[in-house]
Amino acid sequence: MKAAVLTSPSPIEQGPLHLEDVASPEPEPGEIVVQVRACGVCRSNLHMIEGDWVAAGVPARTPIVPGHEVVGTVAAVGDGVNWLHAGERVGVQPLWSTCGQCEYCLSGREQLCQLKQITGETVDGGYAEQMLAKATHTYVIPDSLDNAAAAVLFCPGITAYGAVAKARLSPAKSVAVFGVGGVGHVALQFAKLTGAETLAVTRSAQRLELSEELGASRTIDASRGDAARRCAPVAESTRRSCSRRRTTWSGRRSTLRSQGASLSSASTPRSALSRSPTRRPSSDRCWDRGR
Amino acid sequence: MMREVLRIAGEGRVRVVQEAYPLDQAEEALARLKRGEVRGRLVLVP
Repeated sequence: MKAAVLTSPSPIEQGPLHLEDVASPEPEPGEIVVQVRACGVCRSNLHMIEGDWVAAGVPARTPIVPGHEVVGTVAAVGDGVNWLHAGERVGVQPLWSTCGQCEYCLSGREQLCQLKQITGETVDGGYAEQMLAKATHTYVIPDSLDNAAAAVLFCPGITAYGAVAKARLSPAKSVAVFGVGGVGHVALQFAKLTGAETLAVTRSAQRLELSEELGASRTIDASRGDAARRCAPVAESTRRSCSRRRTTWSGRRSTLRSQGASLSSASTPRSALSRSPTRRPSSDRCWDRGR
Repeated sequence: MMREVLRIAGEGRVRVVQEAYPLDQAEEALARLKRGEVRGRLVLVP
């Protein structure tokens, strides 16, 4: 089967991925083989591929196949998997597996499990025709969703949902979404479902237009500077936020007020993380955000 | 939580904006992402 393999991280312009013919995976007990139909392209993939996270041990090994938001059909099942069948559509999250026994796994915080495996970072991911998945960590896809749309739910979707849930929005509140990319465009919609006033803050004309299309109450062009003032005060709680663009980021905290919230979605500038000095370096993974 | 996300999207209450790319053009997709030229999400299709 074909897979896009990363052997040595380097800038994307230097061509670090190689499309190779590799052996088809064989499932161990509890695993399935997924025939990949769609795999989203995440900014975290780019960080790993370009070597931004080597010092933090990501990727955990090379060669490795990137890709952590995957939808496909079950091609084969390993021993002990009796609830999934060939041909069924399933999705795989960044969280490839967890121990299922530690205090984190048992308290609904399995992303903190010390024995977790990460799709496309510690085990091969979805930039391939096939991949292995832990059957217990796959999810059946509703018939109404197509493969590509469903794949995006497995990282941006779940990340956006988690962030909005933590913001505890209601129709009486306002929320500013900073960055309208993969995560932000979904966060905007989950926020809108709560009835809250939604402000989309982005520097790109195309994304301002997208935000309007998705029903943002207001859009703020951060490229014109002073996004904070033009937002009018909206937010009380600071969700971890992530604009690579400092003008967007720097304006964000000053938008805070009571009964509001702000959400954000791209990569966080290092300086913005200074309030959490014990944080592991360079582990600004998309899927950690908002959970 | 993941099942809830799938349910809400399956009911059409959230719309994912994506553009498909062939797997063999993964690097081009990543380069576009780096340049900030993506609307929603790019998705690789083998």
